[in-house]
Amino acid sequence: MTKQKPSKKSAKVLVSRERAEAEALFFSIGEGAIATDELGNITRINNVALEILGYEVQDVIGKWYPDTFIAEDQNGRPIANIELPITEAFLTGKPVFKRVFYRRKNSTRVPIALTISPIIIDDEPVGAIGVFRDITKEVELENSKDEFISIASHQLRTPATVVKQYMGMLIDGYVGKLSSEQTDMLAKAYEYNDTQLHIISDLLKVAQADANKITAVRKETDFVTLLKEVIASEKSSYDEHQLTLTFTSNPTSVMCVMDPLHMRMVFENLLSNARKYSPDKGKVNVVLEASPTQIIVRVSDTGIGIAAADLPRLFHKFSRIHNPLSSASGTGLGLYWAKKLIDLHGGTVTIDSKVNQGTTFTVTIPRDHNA
Amino acid sequence: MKKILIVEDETALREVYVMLFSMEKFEVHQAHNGLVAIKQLKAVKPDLIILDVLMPVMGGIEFLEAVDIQKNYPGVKVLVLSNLSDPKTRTQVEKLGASKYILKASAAPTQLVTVVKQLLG
Repeated sequence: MTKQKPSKKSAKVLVSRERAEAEALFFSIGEGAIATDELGNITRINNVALEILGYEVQDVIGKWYPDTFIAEDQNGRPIANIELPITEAFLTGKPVFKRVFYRRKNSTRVPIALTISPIIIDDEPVGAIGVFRDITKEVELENSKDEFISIASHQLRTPATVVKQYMGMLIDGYVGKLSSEQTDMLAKAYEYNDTQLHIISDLLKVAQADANKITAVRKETDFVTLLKEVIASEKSSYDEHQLTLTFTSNPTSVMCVMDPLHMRMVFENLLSNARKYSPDKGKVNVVLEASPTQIIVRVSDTGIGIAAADLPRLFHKFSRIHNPLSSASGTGLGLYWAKKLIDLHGGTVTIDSKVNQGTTFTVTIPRDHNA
Repeated sequence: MKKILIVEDETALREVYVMLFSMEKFEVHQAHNGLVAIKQLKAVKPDLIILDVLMPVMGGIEFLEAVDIQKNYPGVKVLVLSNLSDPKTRTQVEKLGASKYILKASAAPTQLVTVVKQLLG
């Protein structure tokens, strides 16, 4: 076969063929698909999408996407236009993935996993394609898993608490004096029973958070005092490892509306991680900055750092990062829990880390968040 | 001899608390829910009640509401021992007359004994 220059006719055939292929793909894929023009008006929708959402094609063509398929969050609140995946896709020019709830035509809710990709020609968005699937079964499975964890943890807690009491009584000599070997062994058993109880408590907290059963009890709190208290409570464990813990704050007091118990848990977690991942004699700095609208706290350590490959899963449930400094393993729930609490306060947390140099966690919390 | 009423639905836990406070030379009485505790409160007239919150039939909060400790039993101290860590429950039982709130899973026997002795002066 000799190579020939394509004729005008064959180029036209090629374009039509590509268009036909795209069309066939759009209408035959197993997921719901919706295409819009550059204004967000629906130009095409496939049968799977119509089936998931219970609409007829004539109900939706030409209508504005955000008005037709109203996206809601877990709590049934409509997502503001500016935060919609389609808006984000248009603004950033990048595909956006999000789990949202859509209302069907009959007004029932359906959880969906949605990817919206902008169609860009010459750097201008000319439309978008949304591809989504019904994740009802996945959500049900997640819920029953969370429920299982919650029930199992509840059931484990009482026997573990009973063990704690009996061992405590033995150690305290309620039934006679123990030899030093017996005391040592029991002290170890007591310590591990305590760890067990902590794990159970963490599992229960996380199960509650996943089921959206955590509410923040917000009150006016001075963030500087709160951080000072957390730092004071961590001091003895830092001293044990000859680690320096410093606190710098530009204001001497910053009032904000938040749940002090939740914020305390967040920073206890970050400070205890910084300690666990720092070699002895290292330094950990806590720096607070405040603007009229938000509070920024940086927790920086001179520890072993986190490999770039581990960063994306840091806030995932049950993810544990190998710690060569300690044989004791955590539950992999601490940072997941901390992030949940930060999210609950409308805040963000970011990480900057270099292996063998250290890690900085930056937490930003709005001073008055009323979600 | 000071009298303690232990209100706890979990038998194994109730037994260990009974053993602990008996060894500490208290006169110990027990109930496995709030309703039984009301009867015991009238019959025994304890100096202190160790009270669980979540119990079948009648929980700790309902028990406190029903008996109105502050009004009807002003001298009786209440130590709430629960696994509920939310501040709402804590505030609620404190309003209803509880003197102290301790998380069950974190309380070592010596801590329990110390708190009870403090409360009883």
